[in-house]
Amino acid sequence: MTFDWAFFWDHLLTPHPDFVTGLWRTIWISIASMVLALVLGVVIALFLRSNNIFLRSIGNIYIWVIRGTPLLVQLVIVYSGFAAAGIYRFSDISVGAITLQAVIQAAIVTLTIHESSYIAEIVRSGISGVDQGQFEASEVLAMKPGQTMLSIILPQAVRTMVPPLGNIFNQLMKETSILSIIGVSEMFLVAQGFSASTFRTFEIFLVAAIYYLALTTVWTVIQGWIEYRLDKYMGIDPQQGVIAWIRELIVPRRRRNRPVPTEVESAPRLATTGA
Amino acid sequence: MPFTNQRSIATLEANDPSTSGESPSMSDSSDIATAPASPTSHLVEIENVYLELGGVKILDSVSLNVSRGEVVVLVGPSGAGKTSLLRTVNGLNPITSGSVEVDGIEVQQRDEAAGTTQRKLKGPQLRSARKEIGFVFQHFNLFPHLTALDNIAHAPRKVLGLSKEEARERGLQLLERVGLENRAHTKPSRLSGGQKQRVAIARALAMRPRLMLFDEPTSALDPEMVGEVLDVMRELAQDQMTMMVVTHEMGFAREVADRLVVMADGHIVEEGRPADVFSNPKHERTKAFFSRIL
Repeated sequence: MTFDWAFFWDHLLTPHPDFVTGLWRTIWISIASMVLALVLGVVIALFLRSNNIFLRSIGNIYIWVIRGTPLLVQLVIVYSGFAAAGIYRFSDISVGAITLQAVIQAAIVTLTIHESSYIAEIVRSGISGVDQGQFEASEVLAMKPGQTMLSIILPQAVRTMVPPLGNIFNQLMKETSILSIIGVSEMFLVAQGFSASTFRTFEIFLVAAIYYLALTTVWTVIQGWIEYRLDKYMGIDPQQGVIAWIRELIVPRRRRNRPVPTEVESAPRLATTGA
Repeated sequence: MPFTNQRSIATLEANDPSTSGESPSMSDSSDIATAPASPTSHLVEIENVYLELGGVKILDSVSLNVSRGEVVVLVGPSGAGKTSLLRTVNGLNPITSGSVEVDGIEVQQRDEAAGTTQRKLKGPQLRSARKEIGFVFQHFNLFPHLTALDNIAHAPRKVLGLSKEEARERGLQLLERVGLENRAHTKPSRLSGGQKQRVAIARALAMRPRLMLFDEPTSALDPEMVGEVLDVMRELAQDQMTMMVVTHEMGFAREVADRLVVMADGHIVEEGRPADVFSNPKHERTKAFFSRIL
């Protein structure tokens, strides 16, 4: 086996500026897509719970279509397909000194649409999981349905929604590697470029893998902290300090005994990249 | 049905609080909206209500009027329809036919002859009717993510449009009234059952309702906590709040109720002054029920 340790450590510890740029791009595309997908997902979830059969149908069809087609295909359709058919062509948008590239717009749009279909189901079941008595209590206090949803139901539903939503975000960060297919120079595409120019394929992708792992690890810690805070918010006694909570991340004990959070449907996801 | 309750409450109208006025001895009685003077009208008029759920008859031709300031206690074996009747009063259960009016507002009305046109009040009207009706649940249904104070102050802010300060002020007053001023910033999960139910009563009172509905408010409590909740309800009754109470607490019924209504199989089988009904039950079902619980 040939493994260039010097090359590996060099790129791991002092990454090339292009690599750092790609890393940041991966991060902010993930965050932007997740935030937008959350908003869209809540809207679709409310469609699914609507009394209006028309809105319910739209929600169902949306989830059926979006969840039933691969992200890779959706990405190519949104970016290349629409342009080829003359439906919509993404072009760079400049606001002051900041330019948002066409490919990145397409990437965020596609990821938002794709993830929102999963998030909608999580939100819907999260809402359904809130005790019926909470709806009745709001009703007899003469609260409007919108007020009830925003100030009573959703804040409670969030606690059960966080673990599956955390999974979604975890997968989303890794799925950004697929964006390389339309030429978004995120971490994967940058690594591919290094690989092509240096032939150190194993080393450079190992570095990329470690960076992805670092991202998802940081997120796991953040998610644990969010869950800890939400437990306190909901008046469920976390019964542990921050140290115990970090230990919990490494050696889960309470998690094992927790009531199973809302079931998430994990449809098969793209395992291979577009390389 | 050997006993119909039509207008049998004439005797009780002499007790109508709107003629006796507010009780000035209670310093915080201002928390309760006292009924305006219209002594002849009933606050609650339930006319000939039928309720069917999934093909099962739950309420069968029930009529019941409640005067202002009156405390009506509903008792009867489980499955008699007490809770269902209570829930129709604020529209939580849509009725199959009949009508329910609270303070002259038709909460629901449905005419069987008219066929399928079920008229439950539409959102805004139903909400304005519900502002006048407090409801206390068996299982409290406090909002777990809000502190005791916020549980109480939430609806006044959102629904009545009170400012944050006003709602907080009102919340603190009510907490004091139910003896929980020191638990204002406690989440419901840290409260005992009795404390939860007292917060739930305060939450309902914060809307300054004219009518309070209690659905087995002490049934989910440990025995030693029943008293503190009943004390709060007793005080409310003394303050001339109009109340409909479903309960199994016969001591409370005997002591506080102006009228005892005994239900069985979806009917009202007997009603009258608690002392009379307890000492001299007329209907067979009443006798059977009392013999089992007393």
